Amino acid sequence: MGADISPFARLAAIATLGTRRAPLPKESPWPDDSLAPAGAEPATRETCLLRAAAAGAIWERAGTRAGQGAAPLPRDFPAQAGRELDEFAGWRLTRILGGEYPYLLTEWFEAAAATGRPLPPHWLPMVLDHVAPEVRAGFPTVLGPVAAWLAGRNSRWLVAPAGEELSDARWQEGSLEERRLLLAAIRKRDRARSLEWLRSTWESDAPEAREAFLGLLTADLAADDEPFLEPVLDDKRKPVRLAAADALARLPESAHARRMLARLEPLIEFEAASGGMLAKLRKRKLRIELPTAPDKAALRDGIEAKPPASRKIGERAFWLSQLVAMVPPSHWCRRFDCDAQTFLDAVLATDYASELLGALTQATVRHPQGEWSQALTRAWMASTQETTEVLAALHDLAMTGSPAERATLLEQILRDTKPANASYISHVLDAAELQWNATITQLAMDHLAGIVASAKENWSHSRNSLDAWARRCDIDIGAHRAAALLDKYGDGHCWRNALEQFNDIVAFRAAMHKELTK
Amino acid sequence: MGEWSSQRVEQMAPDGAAVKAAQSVARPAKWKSLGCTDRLAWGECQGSGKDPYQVRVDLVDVTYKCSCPSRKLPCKHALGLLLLFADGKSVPAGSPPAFVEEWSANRARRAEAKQKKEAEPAATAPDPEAKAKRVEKRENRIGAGLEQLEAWLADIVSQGLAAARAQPPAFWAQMSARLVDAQAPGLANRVELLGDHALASARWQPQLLRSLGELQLLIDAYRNLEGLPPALASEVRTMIGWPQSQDELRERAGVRDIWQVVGRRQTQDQKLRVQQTWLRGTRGGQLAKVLEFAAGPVPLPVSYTLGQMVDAEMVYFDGCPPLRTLEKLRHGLEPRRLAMAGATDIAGMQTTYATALAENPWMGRAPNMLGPVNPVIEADRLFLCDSAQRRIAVAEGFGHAWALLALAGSDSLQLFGEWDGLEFDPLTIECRGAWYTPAQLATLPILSRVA
Repeated sequence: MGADISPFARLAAIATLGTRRAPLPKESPWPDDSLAPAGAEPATRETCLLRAAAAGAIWERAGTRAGQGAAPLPRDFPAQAGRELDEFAGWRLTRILGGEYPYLLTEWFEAAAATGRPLPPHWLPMVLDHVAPEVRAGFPTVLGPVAAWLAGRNSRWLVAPAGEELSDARWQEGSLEERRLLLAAIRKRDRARSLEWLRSTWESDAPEAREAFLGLLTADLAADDEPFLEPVLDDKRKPVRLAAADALARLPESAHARRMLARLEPLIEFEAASGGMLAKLRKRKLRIELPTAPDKAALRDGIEAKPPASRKIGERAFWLSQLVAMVPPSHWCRRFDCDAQTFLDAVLATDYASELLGALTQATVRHPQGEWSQALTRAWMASTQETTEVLAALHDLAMTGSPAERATLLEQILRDTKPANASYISHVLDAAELQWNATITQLAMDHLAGIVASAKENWSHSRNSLDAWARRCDIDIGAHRAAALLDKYGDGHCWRNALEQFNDIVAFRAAMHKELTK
Repeated sequence: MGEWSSQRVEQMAPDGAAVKAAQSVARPAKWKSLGCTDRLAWGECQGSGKDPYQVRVDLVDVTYKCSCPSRKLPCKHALGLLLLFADGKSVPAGSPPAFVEEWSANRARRAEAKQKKEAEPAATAPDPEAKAKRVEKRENRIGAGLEQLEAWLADIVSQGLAAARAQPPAFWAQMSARLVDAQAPGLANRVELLGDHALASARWQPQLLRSLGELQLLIDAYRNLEGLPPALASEVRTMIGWPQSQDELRERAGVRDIWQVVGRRQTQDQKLRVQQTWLRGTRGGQLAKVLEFAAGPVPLPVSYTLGQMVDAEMVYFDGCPPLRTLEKLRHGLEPRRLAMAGATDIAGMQTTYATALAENPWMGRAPNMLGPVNPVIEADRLFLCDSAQRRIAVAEGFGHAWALLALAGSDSLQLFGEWDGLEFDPLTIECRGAWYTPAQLATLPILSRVA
């Protein structure tokens, strides 16, 4: 090694240039003098070089010493506690990651986490390489302590430390992605410190980072966030300002929310009952006054002065709808001592029915409440035209509220189905991100059976048109009902392909759960 | 009949889509009838046609037949049937119906006829004189080919390796084609590989020069065949491209042992899929390699599964050292064993390799049991260290470095793999009493436990 170049390396240098340009060396080209006689037979320079090179290569390979160095035994390798998941669970996960039913990833992780058992460690590098950090960060028990150990040795892998101390330094220096994970983790443990962190870097954070962090805050707001959010209403960038206004509007006790209510309060009132009887509230008319142009304070609170060009709406109606969208809908029930349906009916009887229906929907998305979700969904489903606006509203409402609220909403809708709004049902079922309980599955499958029975299309529905159903339904009921449908409707039926795929996905899920509990 | 697992079935499938298709068929509801005996499994699967497809599988010889028109083999019906069989409860025992009996009897008849034909070779023995003429003709062609090759090599060295590196792929392909014409296919393959070495990124100069030197050495050796020890001489003939007659080999006495299947590798070039299986004799401790080939949609045979203990007589091809074998006669199977024996440390492996290299200078990769060793990753490279504090690098193409690290933890490993004097390429890994092997699933490389 070092300055002492081997004969083979010397030959390689000459050969690279070519013997036409570089002369053979004066030193013996042989790795050992004892070999020289073998090269004595007459030959061209080139053949000589090749023979000596072959000998040199063999010489080196036969004599290569292994490197020296103690194997540093990883003393800090964490002990894997308890039983591991079955090997086949790893195979199944790989198939999901490889593109077979990728939308089952979360279900796999949730079911795996429910067992409390970790993956066998040799699967972890694959998981760390192919599962997004925000997904795997939610399942520390599935990854186990070995994943954190591995991540400490490979900078490509970022594992939100499950039990360890969260580092201030990483918050200051990490990438945006890493900081988001850290912020989400600290929010769960120490809200005061999360706000301290935000304040410590806010001035130097880029607008994109500010927006991302506000998005995280919005996911679990509480009154203690208000002092931080209020000054952000003066941010230089509009998306940041709007995100702050949105967050503050979600805090009903905030000064921002009170200001909004004060602006709106005088504009909406029931007309005085002619008979003066409260019992006649139901028949009374709602009187709505349109607001005047927003002042500076209103603009600061996130009211926009100009409606977007795409919306056909008057300026004043636009201001009104923005105010309504900020205020919790439950406020109206309290103020007028009525239920959601009553107030909504009164709103729909006014001249601003469509604007306010949209605004109340937005308000319900901000301030989820089961009663309002149901009343609004019914109102939207009564529309005769299937516009993108209707579908978007149904979609938003189906995504709103706690899982229990969403389940009640779905059940309600399924029970209320009339042939006139049947096509909306499928849309709401597709949109509501929710695992179906047994009742919903039964009702949905009844609905599906109806669709399939009355189908007369002479083209085939796409194979994956029931994917969303298959991944949410109750496995046993779904499998049972799908088998019955498959028996009844043979090849050539326009739903056959989609039903087969439905059946495949349910079977895949059944096998997946079986493996995880093995 | 416990040797069937769904993993084994998935390995038989020609591709991932076939696995998926088979899984959708592997439901009892899809079958009009199902049944099995110790040796056979069968079923009738309702497809899109009027008549159900009749599927039959020989579980011992692993052959199958299905009445469906699929050109992908094995078809999803055969795989689906095996998947059902593998779960151990969906396929009831029964007596074979007519369509199975007929197929099984036909196969038995054909096998018998083949044996009979092999038993009387004299009738069609080729004319020795004509054969000698053919051999002489081929020798002349090879001789001419060697001269062309030698001149071509000298020209490369004279122009310089840097100039050769700038040549288009056709430069290497043309010489390779000329050697095919000269009936030296072994040399042709080596020349074809030169092009890859020239374009390899790092360390291409020593790689290319070494391969060129080995070719010159091979030319010299073939011209001096009588002067070489017999084993090496036949190795050289094989490297040039002379085949060894498998019929003649079968005449020889083989080595009977309980052979443990210790490693497997599948590779693919443009035309052929090649499966290499390594066996280790549990009594004699010797290693043996079996090569199997498949082309087109035909799947590779599943004659061996990892850990399997095969009581068989194996015949070695001539070689230096002899390694390739063919299975002459199988006496039976013994219960699987997932424990490696005969492992050496790093120094032992290097000594064995150097000794072999002294006898066969073209020795490339040599199979070896290595252990106990510990994996360590430094600067993104995986190394193996033994208790004597020696360390060697693991081949860069081994894509499971981190999985191996996670697997081992603070325990040590035993490995079966190939050593080329510089790098070790693991094929089978033993850790805490279980075996692991690199595999590919849905395009993702995985390290999976041998079930």
